[in-house]
Formats: sequence, structure tokens, C-alpha cells
Amino acid sequence: MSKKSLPKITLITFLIFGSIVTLLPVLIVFRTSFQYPRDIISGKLFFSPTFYNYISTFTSYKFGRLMINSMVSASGTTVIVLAVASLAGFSLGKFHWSKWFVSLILAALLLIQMLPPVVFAGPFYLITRQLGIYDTPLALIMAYLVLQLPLSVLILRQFAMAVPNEILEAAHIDGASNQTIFSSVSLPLMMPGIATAGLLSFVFSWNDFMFAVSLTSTTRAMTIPVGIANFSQDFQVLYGNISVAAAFAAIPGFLMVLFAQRYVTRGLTIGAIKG
Amino acid sequence: MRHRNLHRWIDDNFKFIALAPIILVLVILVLMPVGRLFSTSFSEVKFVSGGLLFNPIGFENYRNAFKDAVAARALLNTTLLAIISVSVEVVIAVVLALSVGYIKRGNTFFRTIFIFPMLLPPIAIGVMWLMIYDFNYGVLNSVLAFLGMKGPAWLASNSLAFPSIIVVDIWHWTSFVFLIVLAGVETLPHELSESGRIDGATEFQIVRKIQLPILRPIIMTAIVTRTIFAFKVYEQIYLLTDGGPGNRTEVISSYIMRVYFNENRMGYASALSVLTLIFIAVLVFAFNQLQKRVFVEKGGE
Repeated sequence: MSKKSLPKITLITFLIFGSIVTLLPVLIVFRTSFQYPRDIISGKLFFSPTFYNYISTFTSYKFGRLMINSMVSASGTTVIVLAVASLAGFSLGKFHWSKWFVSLILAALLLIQMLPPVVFAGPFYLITRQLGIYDTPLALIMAYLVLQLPLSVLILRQFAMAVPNEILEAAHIDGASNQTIFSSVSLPLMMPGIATAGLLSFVFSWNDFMFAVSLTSTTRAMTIPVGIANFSQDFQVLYGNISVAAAFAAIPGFLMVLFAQRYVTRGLTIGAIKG
Repeated sequence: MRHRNLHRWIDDNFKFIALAPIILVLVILVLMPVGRLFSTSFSEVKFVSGGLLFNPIGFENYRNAFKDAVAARALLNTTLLAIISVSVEVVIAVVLALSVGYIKRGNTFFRTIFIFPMLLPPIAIGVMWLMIYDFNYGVLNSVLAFLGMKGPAWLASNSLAFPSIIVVDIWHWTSFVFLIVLAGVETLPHELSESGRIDGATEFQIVRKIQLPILRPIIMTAIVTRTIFAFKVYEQIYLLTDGGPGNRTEVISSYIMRVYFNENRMGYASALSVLTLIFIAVLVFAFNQLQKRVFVEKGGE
């Protein structure tokens, strides 16, 4: 008995230590967001909490507008990604394609997913300028499609493949067309996949900084991560405001790990292993 | 009648119609920028009134790239960061995943915490560590001051800046490796470990001789994916050190972004991007081959 319980205590100690290391940086930012600037500087352990930073972030820095922009570009991306990827996933997963063609598509998607986004930043800057959509949510959506579609197609192809052929065949025999089978039979069964791809697309678009900083320049389209970077100036960091902004930026990821964890796990495992 | 024909036509060609959007996106949103990247990489871009002037200069940008000491430094730093971070991440993640798999109660609680960092905006992670590393007000130096020591300027120090960045990267990405490895741990057959226990094997032997060999392919996958992802590192460096001090934390992405958007040398930055693209493509191909071999070996058993 004692031989067995000893490693267990070691493991739990180790897990608790790991949890503290993981949570501490998050808690520090959260704590700072409720401190007056003078308390941040003092470095004292105890302080009287205040909403001062929250108020000034929203009133003096147009933070509400940045939140709307983040919301618009992330949800716009998600809607288009789901439409394109569910169709592509269904086509690749349920119809007969030659093996080399499927491998070619999958290899292309994989490569795009692996490329550092920086290779797209420059050309997208030039292209969005030319199209006159620079500094609009549309420019961001365009870029995020490239980043989010590969993983979503891989995920939805897996979920389409898991739809039992018998059900589709039965619908076919009943005289349903392929488009009806897709929308009324297959899509409802692919819902967990839609949720997985949708949530991941939303969170990763919401989190992006590189394209937001290179494709926007004003509060017309600027998103939260750029706002965060702007709170850190050359010789001074506005610690109160930056921690408020960081706390808001973390909300989608936070909600996702709390309420939709199995989707995250499932989606990213498909991306890494089946890809 | 015509409407019905259309319906019929869609039905007949549905597999092509359904695939058309993704093909269009790939062609327009991927090939177009990449084409643009290639063409720009052979030019010198000048700002003239009313727009940009693309002056063809042949391979000049590429010749310069191979002589560029900062670019070499950025590539070296990124590679070092990838190797060091991924090695540490894999060790921590495997131990964490095995531990979470081993305990029955509290399983979900720990899993939630360990997955969390990956879902945070990288720039917010930068903010967290800015508050830890700050020379004057940072938590780290406050703790050191409490212990009676004077803390260094972590991010401005020649010797400490790069290790400090690596710590942030490990904090951020261990979560990803953990998630992938845990997926493998959760499918470990209990019977094998159980029969090992009956035969009198210690827990440590069971992990080393039974579980790790089964997990090897999935750990390999995690290493490969994570190593390639490590070459994307950017946001935290932008916020924490911006490549400094003196290029000591410069990485591929931070250097290309600076050359393109701050120095406005678009042609040259494009050449660097093309080289990055080729480098990563080769890496992906090489790792893919390697992985195939590992899986074939595995399948042969």
C-alpha cells in the first residue's frame, strides 16, 4: 500500500507545482488590472482594489471600438471558414477522389498551416492597399481565412468521414439530391466538427497580432492585440491599461478551455496527427 | 423547369461544386500573395508620389540576404529557440501528461489548467511576462529584492535576454505538446500496465518499458509539429525585447517585419520571406519522411 501511494503524492505535488507556474503569470496580470498606478509602482503586496484602469481604458483609449473590431473580424472569419470548410470536408471525406489528388490537397493545406504567417504579411499589405480594403475588417478576414482554413478543412474532413455511409445511402435511395443530403443529413451529424472548427477559428483569429498590426492603422479596424501593443511605448508601459486590455483579450480562450475543452483537444489532435 | 435543371446540375456535380470554394481560396488567397512575394523579391521598392515603384534588380536581394549577418543571427536564434524550447517542453509535457493520466480524481481540473496557455493571445502572454521581467516594478525583481538581492535587467541584458524569451516560449507552448501527448496517454491500454504490475515491475519501469514505447509515435508527432510551429515565434519578442539587445533575441519573423514595415525595404524583406518559405517547406518535407519511417517501423511490429 505504502509503495503505491508514495509515487502518487509525488505526482500530485508535481501537478500542483505545474499548475501554480501556469496560473501565476495570469493572476499577476489580473491583479495588476485592479491596482492604481501608484500601487503598481510601489510593489506592495496589499492594495485597495479599484476599477480605475477599466474606466480609463474604455473612456480614454476607445477600447470598446477595438473590441467590436476584434469581434467583427473573428466572427466574419469563422462564418466564412465554416461554410467553405464544411463543403470541402464533405466533398473530400464522402466522395470518391483519386488518392493523389486528396494527398495533394492535404499536403498543400498542411504546408500552409506550417508556414510562418510572416511570409504572408508583406504581400497582404500590398494587396489590401491595392484593393482599397487596407485598414478594414475585410483585410483581416482575408488574411485569417488563409490561417484558419487549413486546420478547419482537416477537422471537418475527419468528421465528414465519420458520418455513416448507410445513412447517406438511405437518403439517396429516398431520392434526396446531394445538396440536400449535405445540408439536411450530413451537416447535422457533423455539428461537433462544426463547433470544433468554428471555436478554434474564432479564438485564433481573435488572438492574432501580426496581421492586425500590419493590415490596420486606425481604430477603424484595429483589434485588441494592437491596442495592447500600443499601451507599451518606448520609454513607458501603461501597466494598468495594458493589463485590462490583456484580461479582455484572454476572455475567448478562457471561456473555451472552461466550457469547450473537448472540442479544443479533438480539433488540435486531428490537426497534428491526421494532417 | 429551368430551376429544376439547375438543381439537377448541382446534384450531379456536387463533389466539384463543394470543393470549388476551398480551391478558389487556395488559388486566390495563397498563390496570389506568394506570387506577389516572389515578384517583389526581385525588385527594389521605392516610394514615389502616389504609390510604389518596383525597380527590377534581379538577384541582388538574394545576394544581399546571404551576406546579411543579422539575418544569419535571426535564423540561428530561431533554430536555437526551436531546439531548446521544444526539448524542454517535451520533457515537461510528457511527465505532466503521464501524471494527469495516472491520477483519477482531479484529472479534468489539471487538464484545464495545462491546456490554457495555448489559447491565450500571444501578445497577452507578452504582457504577463513583461510584468514579471520588468526591471523596476517586475514581480521577479520584487521577490529578489525581498530576499535582499538586486535583480538584473532581464530583457536588456546581453546574457539573460535570450534565456528569458525561451522561458516564455516554454510556458506558452508546453500546453500544446501536453494536449497532443495526453491524447495518446488516454488511449494507453490498461491491461499491459496491469500485467506489468502483476509481474512485479515498478511504476517507473512500467512507464519506461511499456508506456513510453507505445507513446513514441505520438511524441514524435508532437515534436515535429511543435518544432515547425516554433519558427513562427513573434509576438512575445515584439513586446518584450523587439529583437534586442543588439539582435540577441532577433528571430526570423521579427527581422522580416522590421525590414518590411519599419525600414520599408519591401523587396529585400520579400527575398528573406521567400528563403524562409523554402526553408520551412524543406523542413516539413524532411520531417514528413522521417515520420513516415517511424510509423512504418511501428507498423512492422
